[in-house]
Amino acid sequence: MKTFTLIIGGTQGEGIVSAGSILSKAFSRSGYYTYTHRTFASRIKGGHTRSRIEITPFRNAAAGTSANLIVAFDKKTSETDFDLSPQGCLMVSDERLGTVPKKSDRHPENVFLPFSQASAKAGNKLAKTTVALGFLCRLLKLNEDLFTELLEEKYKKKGASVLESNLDAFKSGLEMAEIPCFKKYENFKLDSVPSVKRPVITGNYALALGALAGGCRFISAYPITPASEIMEYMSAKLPAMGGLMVQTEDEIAAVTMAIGASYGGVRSMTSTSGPGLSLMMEGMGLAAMAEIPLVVIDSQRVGPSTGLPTRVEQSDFDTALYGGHGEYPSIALSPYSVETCFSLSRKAFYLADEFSCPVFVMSDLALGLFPQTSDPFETDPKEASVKNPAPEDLGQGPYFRCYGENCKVRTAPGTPGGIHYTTGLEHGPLGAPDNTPENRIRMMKRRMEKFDSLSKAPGIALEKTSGHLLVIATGSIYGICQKALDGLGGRAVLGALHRLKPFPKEQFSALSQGFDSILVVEYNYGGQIFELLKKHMPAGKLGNLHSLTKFSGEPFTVSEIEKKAKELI
Amino acid sequence: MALIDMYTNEVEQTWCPGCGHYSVLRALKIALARLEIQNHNAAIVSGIGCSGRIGGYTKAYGFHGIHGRSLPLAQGIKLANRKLTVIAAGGDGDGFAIGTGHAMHAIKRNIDITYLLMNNQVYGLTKGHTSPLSDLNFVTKSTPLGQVEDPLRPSLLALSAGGGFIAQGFSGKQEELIELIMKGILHKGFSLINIFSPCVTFNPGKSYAWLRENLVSLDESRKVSDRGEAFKACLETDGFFTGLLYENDAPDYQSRIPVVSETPLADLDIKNTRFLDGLIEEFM
Repeated sequence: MKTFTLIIGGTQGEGIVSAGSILSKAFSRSGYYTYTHRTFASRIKGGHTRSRIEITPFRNAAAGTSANLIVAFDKKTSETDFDLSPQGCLMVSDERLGTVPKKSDRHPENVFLPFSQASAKAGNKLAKTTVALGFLCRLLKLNEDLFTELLEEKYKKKGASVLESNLDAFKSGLEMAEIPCFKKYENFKLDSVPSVKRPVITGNYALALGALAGGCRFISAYPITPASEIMEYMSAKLPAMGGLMVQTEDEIAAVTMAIGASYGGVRSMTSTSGPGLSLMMEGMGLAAMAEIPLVVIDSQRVGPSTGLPTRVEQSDFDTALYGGHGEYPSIALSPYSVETCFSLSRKAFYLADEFSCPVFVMSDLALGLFPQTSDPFETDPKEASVKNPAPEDLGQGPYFRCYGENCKVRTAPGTPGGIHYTTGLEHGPLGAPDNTPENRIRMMKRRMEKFDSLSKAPGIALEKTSGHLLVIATGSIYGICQKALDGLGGRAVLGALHRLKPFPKEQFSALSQGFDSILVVEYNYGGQIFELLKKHMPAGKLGNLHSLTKFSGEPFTVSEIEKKAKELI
Repeated sequence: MALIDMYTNEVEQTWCPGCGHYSVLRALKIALARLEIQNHNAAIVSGIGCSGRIGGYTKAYGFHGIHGRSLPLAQGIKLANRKLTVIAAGGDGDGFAIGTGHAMHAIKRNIDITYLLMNNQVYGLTKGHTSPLSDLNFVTKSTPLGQVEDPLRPSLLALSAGGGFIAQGFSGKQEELIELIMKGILHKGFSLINIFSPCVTFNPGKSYAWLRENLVSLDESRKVSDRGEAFKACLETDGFFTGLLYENDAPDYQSRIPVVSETPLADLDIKNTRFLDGLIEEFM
């Protein structure tokens, strides 16, 4: 089989997520690519959770549509109607669920297995998902040693008895797959692939790793779904590197403390989601006005207000582009894969330093939270580091900055001879407040026009620059578009918009001439990227620009995108 | 060169004649100079309001931030470089209205910075509005019928939040104020110095004369590490006292972090990225 879709569902807190994670690691270590779509509720114990794992021999970042195998630990899973794979679908349910679920043509054969009973027998009631892992391992003819290894890595630290009971539970699951009724599922075997070890990672962890690679050694942040993993990971890794994570009293303190640390001379960041980003806007203005480097990662969720905290949306672009009072310079990047979460997060710190301004990195919930097998990260940065100048390099004064060659940057406190004043008031080039109209005009121009070189660099990644249809997407939608356009036999080109500000005007202008139609796919009501592109579309070609939006909180399906693209070809 | 000259710059000072803040500025510069702190190793962080100008009038690294946020800024600077002497300064509106949350958490977090609360019990720069520290019945443009809320008492709040150094000074008692600022800087941890600094324009009721008459000097022989006694002194004087109220030797934030090196974050070598391979391996 080319692709295989496996669903495991149950009650939150029962180990469903862990089992999903072990499965995706096992497949990944066998050389396959995995993409896990997770459904979860904003509560800790209880409530339904489901991992839908798509397993492929090629790189894929979209959830599977038709199910091959469903493992049910709660009725919500066993009673759900799924799109069934034409290659066959099997459901196995924990015997404890009792009643036979309703039958429909969207319901597969359901076999009850004693997962709970077997885990109790192994002496660990919590290990019922481990029993299921054993069953899946044998049924799908995977390498048992891989699972044993993974179970050891996970449970060794919890003590010998926990590990042993899990290994026993796993073994009892292996035997369950020997029941004759499963003989007819012998075709459930994936095409073999060369064994390559690749990481299974979420966007949030890739963003955090990218920050460390970019030299970030300080983060102040406030916990929020779906961004918390970034601060958690940084707090686990920074101390050993001499750095620090501070959990602040709120997002206002988070952004301001990061500005203080950055002013103090360390590459600094904060991470948040929409509600936090709203609170951070005054800080963004300060960093922009005082020209302090700062990186803010926003993992977008459904807004406004508390919205749907565990569902995906891309509705903060306008906040990043136009939020806050006054007009100010900033950069907004948008990763579109776990690999670019890493590379753009790293790059953000170099850009923040080079242009002395805030940099938004606009991720989203699905990109941030859903684990997937990743291709190797580019760990050899080409970006040059901007160094703190020595006193003799100060030239016209410590605060004076020009952009481009002979660039002089602000000195950090502690530098002899570098004393200067930094303020959110309008100020002269040396930092002292100056409210004269001449100075205001000069400084506004300097701040607003410092990105001229950057705006000429490409901000849309694509393989062809002309054709019939160009589909533009970013964030987690990009992976779904990739899968959708694969089915169109090269009749559409996919472009990843990875820099929204400064907008790549020249590149987009050329693309608007090179393609007959452009389709923008995004998760929001108003078409925020569509409106951004509209501004830059040549007047006579506005009719060529099309929009596909979704704001239900659910990800696009491959067929939704395929259908719209077909209409335009 | 006189000690204070190192911290004196040419910037024109625009506070009203007679403003208490001139004396706070003078005391701060003298305290820094007497401690022989090089001016390039000092960072003065302020918020918005009349008090916000103090950094601009001091020849040191100055950061004039946003209203109410001087404390998060100052904490970030100290965390970036623990070798710096970081002074945060702000008015009573900055610190105990818009910035109250930050003040409480800065006290609780106990990072080694010194906070000068330039308290005139009124909003001066907005041209006379009531402050959370203003007296009951205080008449201003925003309280024409008189303030109906009771004032906050910063030292009481700081004691409740677990403050490790709490003192109060008065612009009109220079030598005491200089010594308190010096002690605050030397204290390893967060130090709050609430300074009665008269606004001669918008709060004439709290004049130098009134404060001189009504501020109680704390008994210097008291045991300053007794929190109960400190609460008592606060309550007995209704907050109108000067002197060191309370000091303990609890370790500061950075001492509590089990980091291997004392290297300031700002001095870390960030070019070496060899650590990445190991971290990525953990996800495989």
